[in-house]
Amino acid sequence: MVNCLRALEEILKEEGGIAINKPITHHLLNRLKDCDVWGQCEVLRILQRYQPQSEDELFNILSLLDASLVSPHSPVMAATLSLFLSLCSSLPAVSLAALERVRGPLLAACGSTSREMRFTALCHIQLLLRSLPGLMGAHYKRFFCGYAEPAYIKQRKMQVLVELVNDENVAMLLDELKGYCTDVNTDTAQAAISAIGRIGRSYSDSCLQILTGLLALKQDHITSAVVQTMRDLVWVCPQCSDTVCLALESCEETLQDSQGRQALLWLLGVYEEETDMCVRDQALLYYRLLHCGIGETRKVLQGRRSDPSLGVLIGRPAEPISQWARSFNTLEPLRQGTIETESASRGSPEHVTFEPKTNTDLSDTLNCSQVEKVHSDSDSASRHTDSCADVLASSVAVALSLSLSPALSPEEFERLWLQRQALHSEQGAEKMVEEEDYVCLEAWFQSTAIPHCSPQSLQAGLQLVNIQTLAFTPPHTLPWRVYLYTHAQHGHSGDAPRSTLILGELLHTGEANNKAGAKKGMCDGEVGVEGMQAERVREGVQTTDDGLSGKESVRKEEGVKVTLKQQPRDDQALKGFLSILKTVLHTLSSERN
Amino acid sequence: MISQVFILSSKGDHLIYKDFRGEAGSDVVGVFYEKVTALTGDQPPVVMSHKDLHFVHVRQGGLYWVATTTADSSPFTIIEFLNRLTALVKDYCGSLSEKSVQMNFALIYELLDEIVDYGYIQTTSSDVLKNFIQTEAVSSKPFSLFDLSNVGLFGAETQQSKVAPSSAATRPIQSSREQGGKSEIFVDVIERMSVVIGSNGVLMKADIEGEIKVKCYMPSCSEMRIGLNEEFSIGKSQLRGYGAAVRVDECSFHQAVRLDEFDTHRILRLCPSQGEQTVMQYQLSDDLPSAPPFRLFPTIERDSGGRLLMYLKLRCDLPPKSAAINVCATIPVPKGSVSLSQELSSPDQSAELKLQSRAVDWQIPRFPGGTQLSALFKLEVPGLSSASMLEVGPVGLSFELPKITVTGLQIRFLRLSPVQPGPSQRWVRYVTHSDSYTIRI
Repeated sequence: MVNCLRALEEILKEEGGIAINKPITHHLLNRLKDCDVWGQCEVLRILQRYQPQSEDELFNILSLLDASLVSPHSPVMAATLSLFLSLCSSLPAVSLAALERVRGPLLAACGSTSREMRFTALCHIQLLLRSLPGLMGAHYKRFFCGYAEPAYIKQRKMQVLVELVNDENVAMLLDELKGYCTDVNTDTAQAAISAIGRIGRSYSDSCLQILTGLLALKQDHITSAVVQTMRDLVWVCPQCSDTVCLALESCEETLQDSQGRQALLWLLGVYEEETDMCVRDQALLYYRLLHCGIGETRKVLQGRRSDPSLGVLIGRPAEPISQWARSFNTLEPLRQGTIETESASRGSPEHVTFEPKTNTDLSDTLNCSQVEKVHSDSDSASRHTDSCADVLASSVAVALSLSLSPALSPEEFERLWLQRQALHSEQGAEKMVEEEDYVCLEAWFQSTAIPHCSPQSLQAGLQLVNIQTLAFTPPHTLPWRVYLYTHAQHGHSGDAPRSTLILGELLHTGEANNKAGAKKGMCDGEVGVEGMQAERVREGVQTTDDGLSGKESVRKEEGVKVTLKQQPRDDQALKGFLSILKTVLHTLSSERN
Repeated sequence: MISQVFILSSKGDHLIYKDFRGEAGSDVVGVFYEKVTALTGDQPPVVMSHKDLHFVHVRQGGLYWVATTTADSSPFTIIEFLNRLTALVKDYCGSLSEKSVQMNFALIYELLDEIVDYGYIQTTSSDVLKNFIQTEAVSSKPFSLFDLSNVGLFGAETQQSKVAPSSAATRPIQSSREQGGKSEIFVDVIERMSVVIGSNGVLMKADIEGEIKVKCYMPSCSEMRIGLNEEFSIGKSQLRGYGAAVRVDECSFHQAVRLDEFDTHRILRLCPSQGEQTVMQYQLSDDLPSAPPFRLFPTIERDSGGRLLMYLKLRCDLPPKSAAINVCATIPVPKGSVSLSQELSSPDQSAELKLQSRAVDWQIPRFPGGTQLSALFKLEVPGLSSASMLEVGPVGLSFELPKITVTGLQIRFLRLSPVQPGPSQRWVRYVTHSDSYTIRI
């Protein structure tokens, strides 16, 4: 029977395989037990093409499949789950229940004698965890590494462990991870250290204690990994900076590799500089910096200068299953691993050199005394200002749907945001490069109440309309910022729906803007004296910015500046998004009042 | 769907190459080997891609078993298939090694022809395959004194004849047919432990993965009944009976096993097919019925001369009549350790400083239950600091516990029905391996 199916599939390949109708489906399902494991997998795969006509029929099929969902043969289990997910794509509750059901067989596969099978199961568990973070919570011990396991399995297990951490098991988990940090395999050791750093985002004290302890070993690869991890940790948890600065004393001799050095320099540059502004110290710092070469110095001084008081919201939102259902039971999850790790554990924004905003366009548009400004790189600025003003004025409701998926990690967000910024500032100067796909918009929202909202209510409010907040400063601080994103999708009449990604920043500066500007100016001045050509340009630009911020400060104190970046470009969607955002903010501020 | 299957030795020699669909040339074999050897440590090797071709491989017996396929095929299926292929080759050739694969290449091609057709897996059941496979396996059994020792002296019925030689189950399944070899059946209960013991001696984690394997050399299929402990229970919720109940958390069976007598009498019924198959798999977490087999009492300090002193006492908590064999304790030591001096409590033990893995390996060939061994290691570590102590441990233990199952699972009886004509032998073996036994210091 299965061979007939296969033959037909081959013959009808061009037409997309055999047409699966109701009688065939039920015949196949009823005969499923007669096939061997391989045949069952094949049949289950072909059945994915079938769409049940009614809910009753769907549930009939599901109950027929239930036994193979917990099959001890992992290929059958995986193929069944795949079919389940495709059948229940409109019934998330049923899909989640199915995930619960396969937990046992998947865990069993994780303990299989075959390493390759273990690895496969681990990769798929990672997929499941994206939608159901609590799925394996009670079984975290099953993901402890065996000492003889190969490094690639250990690394996967650590990635899973990081996801499973909670108040009850954090001590056990850290104890276990600590043991891996001195592993003879440097990759494993470094992965363990960065895993501890990830946990440190929620449990900073105990993690920093471990990390500091590791520095005492004075081994170059460990120190390097620890320093990089600390940098990434400080980036999201600025409150750790004091402990980190204390710990960093005297570890620069141990550092051998450039990545570790860069991280150390960044930490020294950002924090030591701010804590003791004593001239001698600074001279010493610059001496040390220059000791490592001009390039490195530039990286540090121009490196991540975004707001350190910004906290990233921990706890990713649970993704909908549909996000990954398609890649379940394919080779995909096993391959993408390295890239994902890169962005999840190692990826930190320091790779992106990010220059302060140049705002040349700002001065252009300011004369027109218009509130909305659009920077577009493809068309002339003026035309766009018009079109955008139109767009904003006519608040015609477009059929627009926002969604949170695919989820964007804070690191990814930052990368995109900064990348855009860099592009933007470059083009601001040259106005030559064309980019069709990207638009940046700034708008003002008049309200003083918003910055005083509690983060929770703001997040909840925005999530209601499917806007995800990624990070924000605590209320009442200045400058107050919120970073958010969403995916917008709307159907043009006749067109296929197009999805665009919108990144946004809410900024309420108050008076702090002046100070910040002045400080930046000062820093740049000093660097300029060191004799760096690139800086001069910026210095010039900066002064105009200073002037501007003076002029504008009156208005800025009153309102919240909204900066939106969108890719690919879709004016209508952007307009729709802005009006939604405004509505939410209005509601929130009126509640507040 | 499988496009090609090939087997490479660890040095990259092409042992077997079979193209099923003609989608890619044989040059991909070289591409695969280049890729797999060029991987850095943090890249997972299992799946690699070259253009739109994907390599999935497993490593068994020191060989690469590779299948090429498309991106949308199931990794579970392909990996399971490759594992099954290795098991079949092992069944037919007796053992898995470069030599046995080389000597039996004709047989392996014949197998592949039957197993896969145009990239679709046809069957991997040895019952079906035995009708098609004609080639005799060439056995590469080395001459072994152990086989001689098995011959009863002057034909006397010694203890020896009640024990099967360890090589008994590593012979090709087919030879029984032609050579009138013994019709034997082996039932193995194999458990793997993974344990973490905290520095305070508290058991932090204990997992047992167990399986019952049947290896059958009988040409004709008859029904077999395997009786487990009567007090065997599954799941946490079930009430424990009096006495030593045997409990597992989860349990699954091969689809050929009939369970109609399982609920009442804990009897598994099946018709074993030739070769090896896993009849039952089970798993137990955290709640061991007995104490973990080994405890370690370490004292680690620096002496005045800047040397690292490690005084280790290792206790074996098995019942006195049993023993652990091939015990090896691996103690990670600080980086930069140069030399080791040792005092061991008995001459059969040995210890060695492995610079490559930065660890001291302490070997104990036989370790009887209820005894305690001690070792004193002095390590010369230039520039030893107090922080370096962090690098000592956790200690990993590998061992084998013959005739012991940690869960207590036993096979009460093994019956073949109808009773086999002629001599047939039934063997039951128990063994527990350490999957990962870690003791923190």
